[in-house]
Amino acid sequence: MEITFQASDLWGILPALILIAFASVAALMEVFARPDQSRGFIAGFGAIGSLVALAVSIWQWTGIEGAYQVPLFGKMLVMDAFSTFFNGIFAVGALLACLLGGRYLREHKADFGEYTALVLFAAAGMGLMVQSRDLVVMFVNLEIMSIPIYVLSGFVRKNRRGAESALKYFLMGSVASAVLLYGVAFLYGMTGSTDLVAMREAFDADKALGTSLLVKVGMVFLLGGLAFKVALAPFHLWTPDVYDGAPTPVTAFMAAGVKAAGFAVMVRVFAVTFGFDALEFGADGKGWVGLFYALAVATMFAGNLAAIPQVNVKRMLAYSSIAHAGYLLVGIITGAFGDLGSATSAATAIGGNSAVLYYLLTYAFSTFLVLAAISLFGKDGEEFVHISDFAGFGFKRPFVALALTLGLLSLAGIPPLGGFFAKFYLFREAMALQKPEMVWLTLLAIVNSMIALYYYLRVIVFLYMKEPTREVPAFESKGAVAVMIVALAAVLLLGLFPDGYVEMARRSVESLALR
Amino acid sequence: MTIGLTHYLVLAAVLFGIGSIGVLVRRNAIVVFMCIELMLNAVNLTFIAFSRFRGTMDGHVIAFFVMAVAAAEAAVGLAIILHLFRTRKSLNVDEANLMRH
Repeated sequence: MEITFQASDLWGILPALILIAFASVAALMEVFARPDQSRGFIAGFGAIGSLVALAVSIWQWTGIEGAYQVPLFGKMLVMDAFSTFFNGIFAVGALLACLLGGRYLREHKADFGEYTALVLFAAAGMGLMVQSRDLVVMFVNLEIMSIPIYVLSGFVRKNRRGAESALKYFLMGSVASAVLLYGVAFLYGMTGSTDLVAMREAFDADKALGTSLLVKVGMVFLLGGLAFKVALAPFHLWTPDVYDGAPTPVTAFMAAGVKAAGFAVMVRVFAVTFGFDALEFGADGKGWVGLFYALAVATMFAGNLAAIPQVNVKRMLAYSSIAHAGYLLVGIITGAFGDLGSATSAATAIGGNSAVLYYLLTYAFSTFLVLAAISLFGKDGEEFVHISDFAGFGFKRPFVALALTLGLLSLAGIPPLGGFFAKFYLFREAMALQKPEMVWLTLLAIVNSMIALYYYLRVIVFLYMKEPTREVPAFESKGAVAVMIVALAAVLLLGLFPDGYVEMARRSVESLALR
Repeated sequence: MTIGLTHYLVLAAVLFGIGSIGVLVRRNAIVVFMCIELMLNAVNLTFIAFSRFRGTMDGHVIAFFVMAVAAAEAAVGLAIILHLFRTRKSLNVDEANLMRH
C-alpha cells in the first residue's frame, strides 16, 4: 500500500469535497441560527450544495471519452464513468432528501440543521465508496456513509419508533461491517493486497488460489456484509423495522442512496474482480454461482410474500425494496458471467451490469416519488401510514395522489413508466445468456413482479375507491411538491426515452474494465 | 511448539465466534455493542497476523483504520443507546419491539 498525493487528485473527488464543505457549513449554520428560527434555509443551503455537486458530476461526465479511468491517491480511489454516474445519483438523492426534509422536520418538531449536514456527509460517503478501488478504503467510506444514516434514522426524537429504528440499524450495520471486514482480512491474507486490481491479478496468476478455503470463506463474508447493506435475504430482517421507524425523507434517502451505493460496490467487486470465472467454487466452479441463485430467489420471495399482508404502507415498501434487491441481484449474476477484459464475454458483463445501473436509477426516483407523497401524512412525531389512512385521499389532494399512484405503478413495472423499462431491460439481458438456469431465474422474477402488483395496486384502490374512516393530518409542502415534480419527470423520461440513459449506463460499466 | 500463523487465525476466529454468538444471545444493548467491538478486534488480529506472515506493513496500517472507525462508531452508538434508555428506561433489545405490534 503506497499512498501518494497530487493536487490533481482532488479534481477526481470534487463532488464529495463539495458535499463535505457544504455539510460542514450547514452544521455551523445550525450553531449560529436563532433558536426560534425555522431551519428551512439550512435545508435550502444543502439543496444548493447538492446541485453544485450534481453540476460538477455532469461536468466531469462531459470530459469522459472512451475507456476512461483515473487512479487517485496512489490507486486508493479511482475516477471513472461508473463513479461519476453514481456521484450524480447520490447528488440528486441528497438534493431530494434536503427538499423533502425541511418542512417534514418542522411539522414533526425536529427542526434541526444537522439533518442537512448528515444527509450531505452520507452522500459524500456514498460517492467515495463507489470510487474506492481498495477494499479497506471502501470499508472506511462505507462507514462515512453509514454513521450519518444511523443518526438520521432516529432523528425525530419525539418518535419512540425512531429510537428503536436507529438502534436496530446501528447494531445490525455494525455487525455487517465487522463481517465484511473479516472477509477482507482473509482475502488480504491470501492475495497479499486489498487493491481490487492486484487481487484479480493474484487470482489470474495462480488459479489454485481461487479454490483455497480461506478465499472462499473471505468471499462469503464479504458477500454477507454487502448483502446486509442492500438487504438481501436472509440478511434482510432489519429492513422493515428500520424503514418504518425512520423519518420518511430518511427512508427515501436510504432506499435510493444506500441501496444504490451497496449495489454499485457489488458490481465493482463481483463483476469486475471476482467474476464467476475467477473463482473455482465447489465442484466444477458451480458453487459460487449457486450461492448467488439461492440468494436471489430467497430475496425475491422473502420480500414479496412478506409484503402482501402488510397494512402499514412504509413496512410494505420496505419489503418491496427487499424484493427489488432480489431483481437487482439477477442483474449482478448476469453481469458476473461475463468478464469485461475478455473479447467474447464483455458484452454479457456490460449488458447485465448496465441493467443494474439503469434499474437503480429508476428505483431511486420511483421510491422518492412514493415516499415524498407519504411523508405528508403526519404531525408531531407521529406518522399516519396505515393503508386505511389513504382512503379517499385521491380526490382531496389530486396531485399528491397522482404522484403516489404513478410512483407505485413504476415500482410495479407498468408501462410506460421507468420501472417497466428497467425490469424489461434487466430480464432481457438475463435471458440473452441462454442458460436454462438463468431462464428459470428470470421466470421466477417475472412471477414475483406479478405478485408485487397485488400490494401496490391495493394502495391505489384505497386512494380512489374507499371512503375515509378518520381524519388524518396531512400538511402542505412546497419542497415535497418539487420533489414529486422532479421524480415524476424523471420516471416518465426514463420510461419513454430510455435510449440515452441506457447508453450512459453502458458507458459507465465499460469504464470499469481493469487496467 | 512454535506459534505460527494458524494459531493466530484460530484465536481470531474463536474471538470472532464469541463476538457473533454474544450479538445473537445477549439482550443488553451495551453488551451487544461490546460483542461487536470484540468482532472488530478479531478482525484486527487477523489483519496483523497476515501482515506479519506476508512481511508487509499493510495489515498494521489497516488495523489503525479499523480502530479509528470503531471509535467513531462507538461515539454514535453510545449516543443512540443513551437516547433509547431515556425514552424507555431499559436497555433490553427484546423490549425494543414497538414496530412488531
